[in-house]
Amino acid sequence: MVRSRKAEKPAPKHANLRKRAGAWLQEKRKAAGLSQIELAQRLGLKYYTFISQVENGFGRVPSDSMEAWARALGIAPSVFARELLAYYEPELHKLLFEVKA
Amino acid sequence: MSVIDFPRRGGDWRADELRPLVSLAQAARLSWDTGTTERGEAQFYVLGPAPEHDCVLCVSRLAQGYVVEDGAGRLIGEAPSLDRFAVAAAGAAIRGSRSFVTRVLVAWVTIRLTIEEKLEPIFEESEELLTRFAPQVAAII
Repeated sequence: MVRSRKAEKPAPKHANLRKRAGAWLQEKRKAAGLSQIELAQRLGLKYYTFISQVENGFGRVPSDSMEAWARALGIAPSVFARELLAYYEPELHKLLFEVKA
Repeated sequence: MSVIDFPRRGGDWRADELRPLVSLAQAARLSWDTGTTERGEAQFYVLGPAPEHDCVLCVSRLAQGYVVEDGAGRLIGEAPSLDRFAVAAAGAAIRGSRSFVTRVLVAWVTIRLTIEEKLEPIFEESEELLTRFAPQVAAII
């Protein structure tokens, strides 16, 4: 949950995409029947606060832990990474998966 | 590793909590935002430079104190008070040292700690002198 109190407005494109990624991740976590604490447990994190940071759209799932997140949520790692790439690196995603040779 | 499941300490940031956090962001000329965890605990995000504005530092208030993480979820520090948080932030800045952001954070924390270090002994000494000599002065008067 976010109660916005920005000192300065972030660039809408990046911020909006991260928010959408966060919403997608939250939806997948809930679909897997996990709380933020349970997901953090599966990821081996000491606190669940990072899950919230990511779901609120401020942080990103680090590339080196995408596989662990995917498995914890019961999603194929390649599908998971591809989906997040569309939010985090839309231009790269477009080149890799949308632009025809 | 098991996740620490503390009792909830929900609600918004209090003004006295928010002030040093906002100062930290402003000192680094960064924007900030707030949010909450699923359980309602307050979070404060310091956002990095444009255009990404990724979270570079996240402070969460849990029941036992404050948890400081960077934008990749690395635990930087756990502190019972926000003064201790300043020390944690300095440590993070030194370890992470990504950009000007971290250097500004270090500068801010260093200045603050220097002021505290210089002022605290003065106050302590004054108090000690007062306690020791006040009865004698009172007797003379």
